[in-house]
Amino acid sequence: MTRLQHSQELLTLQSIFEGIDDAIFCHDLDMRITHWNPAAEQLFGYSHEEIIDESVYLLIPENRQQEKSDIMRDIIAGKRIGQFKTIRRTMAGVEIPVSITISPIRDPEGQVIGSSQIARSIIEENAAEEKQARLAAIVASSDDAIVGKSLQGIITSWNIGAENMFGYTEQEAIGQHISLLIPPDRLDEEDVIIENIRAGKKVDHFQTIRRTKGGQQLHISLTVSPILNKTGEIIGASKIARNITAQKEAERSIAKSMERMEILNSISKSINEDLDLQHILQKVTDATTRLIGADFGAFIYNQVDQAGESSWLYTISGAPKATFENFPIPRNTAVFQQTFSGEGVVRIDDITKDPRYGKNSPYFGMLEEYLQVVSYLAVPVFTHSGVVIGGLFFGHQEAGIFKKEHEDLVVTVASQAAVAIDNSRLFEEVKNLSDKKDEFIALASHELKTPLTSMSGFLQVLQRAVPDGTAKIFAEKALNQLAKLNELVNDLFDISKIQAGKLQLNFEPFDLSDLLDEVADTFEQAHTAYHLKMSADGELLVSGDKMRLEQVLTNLLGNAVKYAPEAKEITITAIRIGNEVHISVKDQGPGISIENQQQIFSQFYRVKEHERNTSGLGLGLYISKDIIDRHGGRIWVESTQGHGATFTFALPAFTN
Amino acid sequence: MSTKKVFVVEDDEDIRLLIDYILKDDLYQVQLFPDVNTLKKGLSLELPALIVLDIMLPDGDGVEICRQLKANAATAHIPVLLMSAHRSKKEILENTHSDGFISKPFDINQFKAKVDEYMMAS
Repeated sequence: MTRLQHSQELLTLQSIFEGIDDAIFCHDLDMRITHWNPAAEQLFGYSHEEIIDESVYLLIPENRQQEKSDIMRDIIAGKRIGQFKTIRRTMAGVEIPVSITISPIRDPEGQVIGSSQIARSIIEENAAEEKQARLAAIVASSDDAIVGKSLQGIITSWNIGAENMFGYTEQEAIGQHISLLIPPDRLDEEDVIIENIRAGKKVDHFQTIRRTKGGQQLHISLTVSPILNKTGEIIGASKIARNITAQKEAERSIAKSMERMEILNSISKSINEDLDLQHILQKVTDATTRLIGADFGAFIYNQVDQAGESSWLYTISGAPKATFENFPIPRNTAVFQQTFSGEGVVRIDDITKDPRYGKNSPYFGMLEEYLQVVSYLAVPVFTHSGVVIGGLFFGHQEAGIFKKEHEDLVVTVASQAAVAIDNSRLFEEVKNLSDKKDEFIALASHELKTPLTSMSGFLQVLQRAVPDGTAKIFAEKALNQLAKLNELVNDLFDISKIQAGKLQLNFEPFDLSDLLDEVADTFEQAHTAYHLKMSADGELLVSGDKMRLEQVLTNLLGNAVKYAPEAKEITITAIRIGNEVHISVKDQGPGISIENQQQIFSQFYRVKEHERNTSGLGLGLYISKDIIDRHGGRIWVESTQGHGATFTFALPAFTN
Repeated sequence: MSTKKVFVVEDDEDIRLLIDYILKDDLYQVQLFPDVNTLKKGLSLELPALIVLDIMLPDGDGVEICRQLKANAATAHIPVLLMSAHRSKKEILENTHSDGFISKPFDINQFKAKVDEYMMAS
């Protein structure tokens, strides 16, 4: 090598040394830094001036200094150490990961006199590696199945989660087509997913069903994302599958129990409101059949009437009633026997295989031909005294449908049904008695009228026959009392009619002010001591039963006299307000307390303070209210104690 | 000239006696019947100018008898006054084509006046 060549080469090396991106520095055997390039300055922060002749240990963290000593032994022995990864320290004290290549420097005799080091920061490289390791750990430890596949659908990666979820090991799965996991009826889904992936689209939270190695169907939520290579080309898909079977089941079971709660609720509500036995039975049958998902349900009920005769009532759900024509007496058939003899609930998964019932298939009698009953459930219904009064029977065409939970549900409903049935029976009894009472009152009031009629007639004859004087006055008084007695009998009769819903009204349009005049005339003749103030607002047409409305007015006027005997002025006001005609009867009596106002229109109610002083049955206002109600009107009272009472009724005005 | 007759059908003996007493005067004769059976026999012998008919009778229903009388050409022209202890007057008039209604108990003057009215008109 010529001197010139040598010098040129040196210059070249110098330029490389200065220009290279890697930090290059050298030190002698005393560990003093002899060379330091700009990249080293860049990496460690020390300038050339600051570092030359300083110890190389400045760059090495304390815990790495032993390592350096070890390396130096190798270097002195003439070895080269390539891409050694370690930690170095910058001027600012920051420790940075580096990759160092260390070579010995020899003198012309070949003696090692120092070392050169080429150092590169591997911070970014390290981060990428770390990230990958972390991702790998996540993938490995995830409970979700994470599966990679090619665009052709071949499985390329398979984590522990996938192994646990689908049952295939990594070895079994990799290389297989993804359709391994897809139920046959859902194979189309894969085409759609792959199409999306090819288009670079992610498929998010797609809920579907996949199949395990054992053939079990899983509800899963799928997220599938495209895998891109470095050039951004789509080369496959990663899919994350989460098992949502438990979640789905929980959702279903919540929905189911909600539905059951609602049904139970509606059963107890509706059967408690209902007093008709057949209705109750039907409701219970329908609801329980739905509740337990039976194909067919029946409620068979043993009814004993007042004469002690027993008969069978039944309701059916899920089959036409005609199916039950010629239904055999349940007690005679074997299956029913157990239910009606009080042996409790019978629940059979497959009645056709049950030895107790064998080939005779006595269950459901005639129904057998129409309904292929396999699952069977029978629940007896007891009265509160423990007597079996009926049974609920359910059937399903498939085996093993009815579970313990269904049984419990029906038992619950059956006990509610029993209460409702008891209530309905009591109601029937009460209703019968009440009907008899009404019949009796109707008969009694008629029977009372006969002596009333002859007594009244003979008294009138006598009253006319005797001369003026005490006898005549007494005869008149007797006649007045008879008239009162007659009114009481009339009230009794009306009550029996009202309660039986047989009070007949005959509607016709008429002028209420004419009626008021008539009633006022009659009243004034009978009560000469009273002053009646009338203010009627011209013609007041209503459609009503004239005689019954007269009865109401007479009742209100009669009450004014009866309960305010000291006040001799009564005011009647009749006006039209909007579409209504309002008639008020106002007295100047002691008024009515709030408590009494609230109850005054109820049957048999009598104002308490007056109970001992005034006669009456407490029926007048009750009858009046019924009459006004039947006219589509309203009746009410307004009163302040000490300032009289005003009774008002409003009737719809009649318009042509 | 034969005196005009009013037939009264009433099952209670005292009420029959009372009505007989009220109605009896020179203008017309009163013939009393305790039940439907005797009335029918009476009608087969002669026809009255007026029938006063109680509704609740031991062997029949006055409303139904009235309907039959009005449906029969021989008796259709005879006015019928129905008598009852029940006050649903209007209903009875509409359903039976009877000519009037007397509510029990009654005012004896009004009773007499009502019967007189029909007897005068006949």
